[in-house]
Amino acid sequence: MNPLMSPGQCLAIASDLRRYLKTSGALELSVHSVFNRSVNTLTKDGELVTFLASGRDMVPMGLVAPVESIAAWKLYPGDTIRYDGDFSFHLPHDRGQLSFRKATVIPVSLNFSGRYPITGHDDSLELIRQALLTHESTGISSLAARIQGGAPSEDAPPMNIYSAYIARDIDLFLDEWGSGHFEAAFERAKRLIGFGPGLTPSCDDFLAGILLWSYYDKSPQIDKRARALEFASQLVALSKERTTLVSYHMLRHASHGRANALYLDLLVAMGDEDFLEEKIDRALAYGASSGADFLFGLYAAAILSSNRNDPSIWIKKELS
Amino acid sequence: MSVNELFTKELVVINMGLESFYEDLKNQGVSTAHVQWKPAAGGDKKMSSLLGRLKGLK
Amino acid sequence: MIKAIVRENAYYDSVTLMLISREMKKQEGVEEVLVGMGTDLNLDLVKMLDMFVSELEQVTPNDLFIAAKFDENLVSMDELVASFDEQINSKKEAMSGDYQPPTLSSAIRHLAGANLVQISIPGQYAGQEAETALNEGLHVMMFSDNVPVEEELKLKKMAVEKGLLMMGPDCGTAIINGVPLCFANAVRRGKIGLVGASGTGTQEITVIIHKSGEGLSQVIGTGGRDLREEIGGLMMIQGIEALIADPETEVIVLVSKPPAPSVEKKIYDLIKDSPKPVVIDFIGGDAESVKKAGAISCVSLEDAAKKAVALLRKETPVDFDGFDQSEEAIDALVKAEVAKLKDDQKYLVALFTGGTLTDEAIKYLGEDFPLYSNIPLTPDRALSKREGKGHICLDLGEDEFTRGRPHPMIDPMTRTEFFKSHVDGTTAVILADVVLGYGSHEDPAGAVADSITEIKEALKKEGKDVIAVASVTGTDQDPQDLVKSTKDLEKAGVIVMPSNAQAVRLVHRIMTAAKL
Repeated sequence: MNPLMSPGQCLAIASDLRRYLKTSGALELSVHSVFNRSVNTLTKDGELVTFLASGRDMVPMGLVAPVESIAAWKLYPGDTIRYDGDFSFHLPHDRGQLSFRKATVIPVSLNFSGRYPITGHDDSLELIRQALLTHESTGISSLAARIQGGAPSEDAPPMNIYSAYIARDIDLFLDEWGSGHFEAAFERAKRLIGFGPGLTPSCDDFLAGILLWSYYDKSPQIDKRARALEFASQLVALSKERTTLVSYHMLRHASHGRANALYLDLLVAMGDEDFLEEKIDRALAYGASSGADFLFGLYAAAILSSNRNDPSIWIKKELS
Repeated sequence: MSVNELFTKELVVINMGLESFYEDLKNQGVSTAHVQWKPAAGGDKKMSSLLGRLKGLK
Repeated sequence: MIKAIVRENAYYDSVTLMLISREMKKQEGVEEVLVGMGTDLNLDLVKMLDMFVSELEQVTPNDLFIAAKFDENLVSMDELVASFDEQINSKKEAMSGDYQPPTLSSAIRHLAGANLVQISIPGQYAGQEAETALNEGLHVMMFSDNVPVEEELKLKKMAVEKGLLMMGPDCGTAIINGVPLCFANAVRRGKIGLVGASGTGTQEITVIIHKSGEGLSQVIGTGGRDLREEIGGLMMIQGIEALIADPETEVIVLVSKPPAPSVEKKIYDLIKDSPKPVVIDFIGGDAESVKKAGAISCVSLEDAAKKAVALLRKETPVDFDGFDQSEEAIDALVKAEVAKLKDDQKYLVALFTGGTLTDEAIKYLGEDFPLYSNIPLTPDRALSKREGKGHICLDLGEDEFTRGRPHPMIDPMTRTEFFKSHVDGTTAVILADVVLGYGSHEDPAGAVADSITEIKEALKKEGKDVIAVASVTGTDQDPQDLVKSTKDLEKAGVIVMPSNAQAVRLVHRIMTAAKL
């Protein structure tokens, strides 16, 4: 009796994937990359669909299967998974079917009512800063120490080779982006995209954090916000040729406000919520350094944002 | 969901307490998570004072 | 020397790569290793470190590269690549460290589709967690005991209102959707549904159903106190209703100690209109009232299983109160065993790990022999009332024996000690249960076999032997090896009977024949 042989019913499906499959009808997915707890696949029109093992956080265009290990499906890059247009995926090598008809739909973006949906509260930002400064990272997150708003911590770990190389570019980027000089920031971003260790290079995770915050930060003047979003879409277009496919899709989703459930939780918690500490811990444990680098990006954007500590901010979280 | 609805779904179990029960579920391929349950909140003193200030502002 | 290799369109998760590059750096002779995706900027860094080599020229962002600076007298690139590949392959097999949420609420948010919470934390905290679970719409399996009865009532009322399962407190066994929970055996799916207030009683019945070739649809536990007056059978009723409504269930079995009279009546009222046949084993309870309610009564746990199987097969259920072996074979066996005993061997030492199995033994043997126990039939048979020796039949899973130590089903140590302290030259018969399945120790039979071997060796020196009888509650699909378990016991000289009821019956025959 091997339950892994009959994958069965999906536990959850991302809201964007569900919408996509509703309109697409039957299609074929080509396996792109295989990991122990996830599989990335590509549609003919270039969408990345991710199958996740249970217990993994939902991601944009993601699907959670009722199995502990996706590796048990023994998929290989190039294999075809067929979607039959009627809530079912057919796995190759007779691995059975996967239905999402009864799956819980999980939102991959946030839908707010209220004037300024997100804010970086001083205390939560301080918590994040302390966490980033003391976290030993193989990515670039310890560069949070250099951001205006506080003295660097004495117990900050030494910079790794990547941080040392990119520190100045990050400094300048944050200056330019933070002060609304988006053309300069865009030029500077050419020095960041694709840099760093990881399947999603550290700088990409950092930029994704910046983009996600940008999308939801409705506080700046209308003109500034429009230019910030323009910057975001240019950055995404540029990244297509300059970094890995998985990273490009991550940046693309972030620029539209879509992200991993953990990151969305973090975003909301930065305002005013219990469990922020726990969410920070989870982010720091995510991937090799992806979560920490992403958190660094969110943090940097929040610090530089003009709506800090605005008492008129009211958060009412409604998930789309 | 009602009992009879539960009978039609995949069982997805959260385990709190004996870790051996969690291991048994995992070995059978059941989707499960184990809660490292502790009776009282622990934590870094510095963090908890910051959190305390956060809560006070609600 | 500087060399690089490229893996085109190769995707490895970041944690794996990080761990591997760390390992590679530790290797003697290695000065620097950079592992990354072939983006322009990563290659810039490689250049800046003077590590750029021609192999990296064609690299694209979707390719993985490993650039290494090393002393070629101490290590070769081939070795480095080989070690990289080896580690990649071994990490692919390893399970990634699973996230363990710190609280129930975070677990509910983290584990998509969670529908049941299994609780085995200390009783004083368990109620609160169960309440959280029920409020979030999750079903509950609670192994914890020492939960106040008022709290149990409150939780079960909540559960009934929300249409959820609240299995426990003190619920050791359930099998939902074919998944064994806590202490339960691996049995095939089938058409017989069971609601039980007795853990090992449930286990014994499910195992015998499996052995007969049939299977279980759902096995719902209620916890030991459910059928008391104060709780009113809330979960038993909830379970019966669910099984009546369940299209996969064709026959229903109920097992429990005799309920409080008001609760018994509620159950009979519920099942009298049941479209499905109901088999009821209220262990040692009144068979007539069961029959009057239109249900089928039982003489043992094994009998309940066999009757359920018969009903499923549309055969007539008959009482099974005998043996699998023929009467002649049993007679011969009894004679041969009794012949082993010396005049001063007069007593039964029965040591059980399962409460309901103990109960079955006491109810059957206690009718005709004075049995002392920690769960006695009458107060005058309490252990403390024993003067000198006497027949004993103990439930080692009870509180007084499990203070500060694991339950004997998990750790055989307690019973091993009791064998040592209670068996001596006056012992005639030893009786034990061996419970396999999830939750149980990895080799309970081995522990009993070792104890019996030791006992027999010691008695041999006095020119004596002892009669040992046991049953194994387990299936061929359980994590323990059923065949080896039986063989180990037999090798140690234990008579292994096909069920607890038959083991108890055999002991009764032996004790009668030996005039104990």
